[in-house]
Amino acid sequence: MAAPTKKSPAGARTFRIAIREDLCKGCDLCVSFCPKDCLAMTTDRMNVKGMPFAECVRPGDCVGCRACATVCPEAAIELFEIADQEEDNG
Amino acid sequence: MAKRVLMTGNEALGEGAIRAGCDCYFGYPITPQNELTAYMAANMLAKGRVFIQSESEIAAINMVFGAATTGARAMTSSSSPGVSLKQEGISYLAATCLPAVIVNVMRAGPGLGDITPSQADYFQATRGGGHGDYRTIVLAPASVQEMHDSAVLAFELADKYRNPVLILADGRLGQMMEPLVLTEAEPVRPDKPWTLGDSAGRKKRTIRSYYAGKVEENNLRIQEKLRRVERDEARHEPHLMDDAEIMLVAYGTSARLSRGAVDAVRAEGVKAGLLRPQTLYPFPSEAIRSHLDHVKSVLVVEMSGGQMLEDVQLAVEGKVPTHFHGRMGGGVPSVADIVEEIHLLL
Amino acid sequence: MTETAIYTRPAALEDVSMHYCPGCGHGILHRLVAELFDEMHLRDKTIAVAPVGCSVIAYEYWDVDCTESAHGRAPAVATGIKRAKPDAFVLAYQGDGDLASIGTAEIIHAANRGENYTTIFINNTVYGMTGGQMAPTTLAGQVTATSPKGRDVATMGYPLRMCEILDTLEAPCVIARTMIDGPGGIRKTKTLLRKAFDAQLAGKGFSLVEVLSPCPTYMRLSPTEAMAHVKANVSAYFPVKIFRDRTVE
Repeated sequence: MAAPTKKSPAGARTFRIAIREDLCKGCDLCVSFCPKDCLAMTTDRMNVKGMPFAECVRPGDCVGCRACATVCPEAAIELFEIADQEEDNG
Repeated sequence: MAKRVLMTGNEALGEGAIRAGCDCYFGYPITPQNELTAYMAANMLAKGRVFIQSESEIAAINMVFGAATTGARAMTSSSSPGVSLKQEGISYLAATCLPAVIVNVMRAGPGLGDITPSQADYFQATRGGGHGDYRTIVLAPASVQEMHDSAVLAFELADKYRNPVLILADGRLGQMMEPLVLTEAEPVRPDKPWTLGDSAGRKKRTIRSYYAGKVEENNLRIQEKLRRVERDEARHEPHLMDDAEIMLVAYGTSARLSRGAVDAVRAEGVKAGLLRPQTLYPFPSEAIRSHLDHVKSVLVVEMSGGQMLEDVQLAVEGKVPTHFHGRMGGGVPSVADIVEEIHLLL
Repeated sequence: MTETAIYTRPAALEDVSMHYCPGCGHGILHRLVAELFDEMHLRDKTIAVAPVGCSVIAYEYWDVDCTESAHGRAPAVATGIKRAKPDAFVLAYQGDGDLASIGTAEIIHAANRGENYTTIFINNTVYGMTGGQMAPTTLAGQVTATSPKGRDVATMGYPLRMCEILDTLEAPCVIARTMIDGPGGIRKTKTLLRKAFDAQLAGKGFSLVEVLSPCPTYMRLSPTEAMAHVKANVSAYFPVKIFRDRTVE
């Protein structure tokens, strides 16, 4: 697991949730357990399995708690932290 | 001059297995093979090898399965009811092409039966015994020496063909005491490029019998192997067969008694002979057929209701009459009984 | 802008779609096991034993050596493997029918002998693969294909608490029950699995973790509801606890 980056002076850390659309079975667990309502099931698209799939609809609200990746039965969710460009990396 | 020792059949089999490099023995007590389990307990543990008295015969065959996946030479033994319990495990061994040695020291059946000897597990032994299309190679010793020799051969054939091998003995062979010569040969272990464990630097291996949609392919591979076994591994011992007009076919204890009967009637001028299968699968059908130009009738002697009889009939293909003498439920034919049967054929 | 990985799919998990139902606990548990294979560098020495049950083809999902085993006999197979090859890391993965029904003799005796391998016992209170029949762990009153009016304890017996039974034995080193009820329970499950794996690596004997798990299909609940049911009802009968942990002795 990566070490957390220093918080920028603004305080917010930025995360990217990557969900493998092809592996998602639409079980809704990630959506249910996300404490920040970042995720939602699609209502207008299906994946290659013919199922709705989860996607990150509010990435800015993600706090990197990993609940989604932890509950996903398909190991379809990966989580990345995006380092702030203005951060002092010295 | 090789040293001769005096041992019981069960012990001789155990010693043969140990000298053949048996790494693991798993067994459960059942009469009349308890001497083998006890011998393995004493000697395997003394040599730092694996011995477990398992919780059941079912557990034992599955322990053999597990050990075999690692490339170990693994063996279990039991007697008839216990061998019935092992059939699913044996089917799995055959399906996954794992080498293993299983010993059945037959007793009277069916059901609880008795602890007296019998040969009534022939069908079970030679027709796979468990579910599915497979066979175990079946060795049929008829002396204490052969009990020892069959253990050595069993491990070799099991490894050579990646197939379970069954040693089919009976309670009398297990208990009798005869002199024998123990092998001093170092076991030769073939490479096993299919074993599990230590997988660094290679792709993973899976020991399996289930292949989605491809189980028929697995079966065809197994059948092709069995054709090679049938072609190359049939063994028999002829006694006075060159000019025999009456051919006795018998194995194990029945063969010892039949040989006595053959010798007795030869003294009367009757041209009898004995063809003793030493492998029951593959069955020495060709050897039987090779004598049909001079044999006029066949007498099968078994301690059963007539099981090997059917394989003899298949081999003979009706060319000469086939007769049967048998005893069941622990009954053992006497030499006199067999002699009388031969007289009836004259 | 740079990205740091916080969580990625474990390398020991094959990059294929698993056949389990949406929301099935097997997928989560397989992922945890794969994470531990990676983190503890176990892939090269692992020999896994797959059961008969929904996870009969678990070997398709882990990049480790694995063998089939006959229904219920995984403890005997694992015993044979570990005794023949003590340096292997041996993991048996069993469901309710495999461990608590047909295989009760094998698990009790392997535990009793203190065989130095690790068992993961996934308890979802039902037989999934064969169509939702009653399991030894089915709750009283639970409707299944073979208890269509609900499990009647008078004629069908009570659910079996296997950890409690095994805890009567002298030999075992780690016996624990956890649950998959959400991220918290999943993290605790991984902690206990790691403890069990450590017990084997230290040569300390038999370790078993029972994981209460959702089966949305045969619990007839959505995946989220099934996890809530595990938390509220299944764990009420099967208490989540560490029965023993002799790794600290």
